[in-house]
This record gives sequence, structure tokens and C-alpha cells, in this order.
Amino acid sequence: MNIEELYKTIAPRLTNWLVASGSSYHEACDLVQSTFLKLWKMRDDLRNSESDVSGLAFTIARNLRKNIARDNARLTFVGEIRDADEGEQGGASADGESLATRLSTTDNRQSGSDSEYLRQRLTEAFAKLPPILREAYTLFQIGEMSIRDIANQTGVSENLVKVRIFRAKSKLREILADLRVT
Amino acid sequence: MDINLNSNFNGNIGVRPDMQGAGVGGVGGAAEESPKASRTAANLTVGKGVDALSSAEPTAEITADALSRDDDLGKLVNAAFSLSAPPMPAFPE
Repeated sequence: MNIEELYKTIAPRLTNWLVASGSSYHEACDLVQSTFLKLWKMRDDLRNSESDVSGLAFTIARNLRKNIARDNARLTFVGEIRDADEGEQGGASADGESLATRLSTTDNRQSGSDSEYLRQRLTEAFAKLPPILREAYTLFQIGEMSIRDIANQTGVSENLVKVRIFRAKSKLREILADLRVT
Repeated sequence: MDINLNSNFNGNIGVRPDMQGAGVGGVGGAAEESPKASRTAANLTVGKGVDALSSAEPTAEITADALSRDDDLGKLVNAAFSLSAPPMPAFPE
């Protein structure tokens, strides 16, 4: 396994997929690096197997993100108790904010270029999709995974993956109608 | 007037006989893996749109064109999500 080649191939797709599915760019970067450190630790096992390293990388990144979300939820809970103890009427926590709100207060601090505007619109549109459609479409389009790999990773048939991608595309076109996407 | 709420209760709260056992997704839900959906799958085409597909798993009707990554939507998504990957971490020996 040539880790540098793998990194060049997988890391950009993984970064963009993480951002498209709700992570901030900085969180995505941390997750990508952590994912590859895990892959590096597993290198001896991977060398002797036929594993789909790309699919494995996406799985590791997804699990790492779940762990972070779980830890953040715990921290938020503790924070809320402290706030209550101090008699504060704190506003919504970052974890409780919508994806759109979070985007508008983080990524948009930078200049509002076209790609940032598009990214915000698309991230908002992705957030409106049912999770199973969003997952199938983002893995397919941004993760550049094959239908078969997505089916293996999500545990459904290839036909169902196709349906989910098709439905996601149809819904996205409805949501983004003002952009005249065909 | 005394009303005995228990006197007529038969354990079946307002569920029509034809709906009983429908379960989650039985009425207006997304029953994409239901047997009924499978039976109707063969009749569906992409041209019938999202509504026709909402409760079924078609087989060969979704064409390669419909799943293209290079249509306008795909290009838009790729343009929006073209962020750089972080630098490769230093891997411990």
C-alpha cells in the first residue's frame, strides 16, 4: 500500500464528502488526517487483504465523526447544566443550530465567492434530503464511489442505491429550481 | 352524567379494520422495502418521476444517463465541493 498515492486519491474526495454531509471544513480536515492515521496503523492487515481501502476510509471517517458528535453532545449537556446552575439564559448551542445557521456563521466569514455561495446552497439542499438519499448521493457524486461500493457500505441492494441516487437528484433539482439546474 | 371510559374499550383505538397491521409506513409512509412495493416495481419507469418511485425499487429502468455524474447538477456539486484536502499527516514509523 502506497500511502501517499492513496492519500492523493482519497483525501480530496473524503474532505469534500465530509463537508457536503455536514462537517465544517476544519472538522473535515481533522477527520481526514485521523482517518489516514488509522489506516496507517492497519497497514499490515490491509497489505494482505483485498479490502477496498477507499470504502474503508469513508467508513472510518464516518465512525470518527459519529464519535465526535457523541462526545460533543455530552459536553453540551454538561455545559447546559452549568449554564442552568449559573442562572444563565444561554442561546442555542452550536450543536443545536441548524446546518444552514452554522454555515452562515462559519464558512461565510470568508469572502462570499461563487463557490462558497454554491456550497452553502447545496449544503442547505443536502440537509433537506432524507438522510438515506443524502448519503447515497453524496457518496456517489462527491465520494466518487461506485454503486456496488455504496451498496456494500450501506447494506442495501445496488438497485436501491440507484433509486436513492435518482430520487436525491430529483429532489435536489426541485430545491435548487431557481438555479435552473437540469 | 357519568361516563365510564373503560366500559366500551376493546383494545382497538380508532384503527380501521383495513388499516390494522399496516404498521409504520403503511399509510402514506415511505415503504420502499415493502412487499407491495416490490410487486409494483416492474411497472415503473424513470419518466414517471419521483412520486412513482417513492414506494418502490425499480430494476433496470433507471438509465445510466439518469445516474450521470456529469450532468448540470453533478457539475454544480463538483464545482461547489472542490475543497483542498489537508496536508498529509506525518505517519509514525
